[in-house]
Amino acid sequence: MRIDKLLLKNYRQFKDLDISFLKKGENDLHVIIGKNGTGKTNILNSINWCLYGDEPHLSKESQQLPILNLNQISKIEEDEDKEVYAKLHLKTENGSCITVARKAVYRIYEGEKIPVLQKTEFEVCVPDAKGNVDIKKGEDAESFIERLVPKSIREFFFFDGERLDTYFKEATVQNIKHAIFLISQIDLLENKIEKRLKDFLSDLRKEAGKTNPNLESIRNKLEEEEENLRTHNKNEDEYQEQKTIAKKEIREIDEKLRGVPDVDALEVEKLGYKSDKKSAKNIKQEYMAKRTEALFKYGNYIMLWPALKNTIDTINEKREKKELPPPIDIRLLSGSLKEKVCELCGHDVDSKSEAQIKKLIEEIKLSPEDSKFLLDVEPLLHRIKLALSEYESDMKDLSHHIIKYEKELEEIEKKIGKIDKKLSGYKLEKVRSWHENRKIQEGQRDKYLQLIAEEKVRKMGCEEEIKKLKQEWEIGLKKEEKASKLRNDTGFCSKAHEIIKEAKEIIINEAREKIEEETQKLFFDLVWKSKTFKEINILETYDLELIHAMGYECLGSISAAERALLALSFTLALHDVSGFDSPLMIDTPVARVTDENRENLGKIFAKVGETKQIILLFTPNEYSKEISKILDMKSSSRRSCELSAGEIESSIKEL
Amino acid sequence: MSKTKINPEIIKWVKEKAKSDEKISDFLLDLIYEEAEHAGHWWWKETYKKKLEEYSKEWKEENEN
Repeated sequence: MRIDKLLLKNYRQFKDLDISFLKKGENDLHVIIGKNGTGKTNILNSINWCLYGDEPHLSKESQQLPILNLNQISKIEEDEDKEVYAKLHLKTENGSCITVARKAVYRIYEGEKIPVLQKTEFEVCVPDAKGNVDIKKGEDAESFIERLVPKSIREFFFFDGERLDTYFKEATVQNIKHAIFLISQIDLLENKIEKRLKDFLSDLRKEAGKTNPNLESIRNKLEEEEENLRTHNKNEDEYQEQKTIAKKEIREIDEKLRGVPDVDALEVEKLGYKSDKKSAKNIKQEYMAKRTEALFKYGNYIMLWPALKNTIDTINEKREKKELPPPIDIRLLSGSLKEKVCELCGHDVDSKSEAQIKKLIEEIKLSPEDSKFLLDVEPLLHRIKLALSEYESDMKDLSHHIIKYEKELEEIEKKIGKIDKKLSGYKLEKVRSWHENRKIQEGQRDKYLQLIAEEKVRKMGCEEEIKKLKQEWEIGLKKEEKASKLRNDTGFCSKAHEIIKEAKEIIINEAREKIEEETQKLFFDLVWKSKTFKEINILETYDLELIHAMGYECLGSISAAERALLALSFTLALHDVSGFDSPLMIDTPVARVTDENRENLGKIFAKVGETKQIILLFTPNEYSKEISKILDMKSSSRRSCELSAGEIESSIKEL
Repeated sequence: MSKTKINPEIIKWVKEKAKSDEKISDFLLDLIYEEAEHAGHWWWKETYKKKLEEYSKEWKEENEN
């Protein structure tokens, strides 16, 4: 399906608008460029209003204004009716042209300024093969549009590019699953046919149960077991949702923590350094105390050292001269002189001997007291000398240790300083609470993973029991001759139910895998840092994961532009895989994408335009040279949206 | 979704899973198109009953043959 034409009358800025979206060759790409406030987004709103009766993309300013064109309001006479009108010409794949029209009639009452809604009309004209037109109104018309372009999935064909950034932030497992189910029509199998056949089968079984109490007993057990299975399925879905919420929380926290240091880890590191600093300081002080003690101990020796050294030298000198110890005791010589008798041999001391004794006395310079003193003090002096020689190496050793610990303390201070620098500028309590919350969410995620596993085991048990009961049912029903028709109907219905279930499972998995593959292909074509990422996974649970080249899940930490590209890739993949027949209309499609990456995006839009209609609403800034060099050539139409001089009405001009 | 636009994968896999059981395949495809035509609330039970009667009867005859 494509939009052939849009007609607006008195709709917001547009007094009279008639735009045709004609296809040019293979290209069905249309560009509308308009500054903010010119009504560009209201073109998207008018299509929504025409199809569904609401305007989901209204700006805050427009929300305050009536839908009726302001210029027209000023011209309305009292009690005169004015209508707002939007009409779409849609062309389906088989070539038939459907028109959808919505009209709202307003009136201004006497003394009032604001127009009051009088009535609305909604009409869809559908031609048949013979050219007859079926005019559908009201609920019939709405039901027809619901089949054509379901409102619940309109966000996948008429959407605001700004939303792309938040898509995977807001996306839950349920709404990704919902989108895939609706667009791929799996919903039609699961919630319609499968469910209704199940209800029908249940009615048939009830009827068959009436024929035999044994059958009724089996039926009751079967229904009970099927109810249990439904409960376990429901529980599993709920746990999956809870697990996804926890994962989403973790992603959001990771995003907040991107570039923010791990405060707790740094605090622990800092505490470690502080403890190292304390022990280094203590050790240094111990060495300093030892040095002080040594200085105190050796201080006197050091001061007296010149005198002590002189004494040692004197002793050595005296010893060398054989004066120490003295060769003869001076007291014996003096006694011999005095008594004139040698005290050693007893001979008389003659004059010659006297002269010799006197000479000897003269040669002996040390008194016995001095000699004794020197000899007594000599060992002590040597001990001091030895101690002083050890003192030098001890002091060297102590100083070396002190310097070593001073350096260590400096290093520790530097490390603490670095940590303080890293932590400065952050609200530590907040960062700490993020880390704590992350741990809590990890716990929640693990808890629900465990619960999911438990439900899976319970489901297996139920399925086994259901299989057994169904066999019992079949055998029991075969014995009932009177229930031949019922047997046939239940058999037929049961088989049909099984087939639709099996087909659905295959389609679900195929759709998921294809969307995963296509999303990945498109994303890697679009993204400028393709080597940063390894793959995209859409898990069986519909969790979407973006895997970094290093192997970790990084959806929570990618940039807004990357997230927008991922959401766009996912949307395009949904369209492509489901073969969903609808145009694609995107307002501000490259708002979050930087200039250098717009070229890739332009190429993708051009490619999409070869297979389906795509209408893009750009601001002039967005339509930069990178994008215009691609789309100028590939677009079927290019228009500008401009405000009139009075700034109340807008018009669309061909470029 | 146009009047006859059904995801081709659905048709393919229903046919594949029903294999040679054409009656069941036709019955299911009939229901699929019927459901695609009725987006909102509709009296599905009557239609289902009618179609089940019709296809189930033919199915029985085929099986008996």
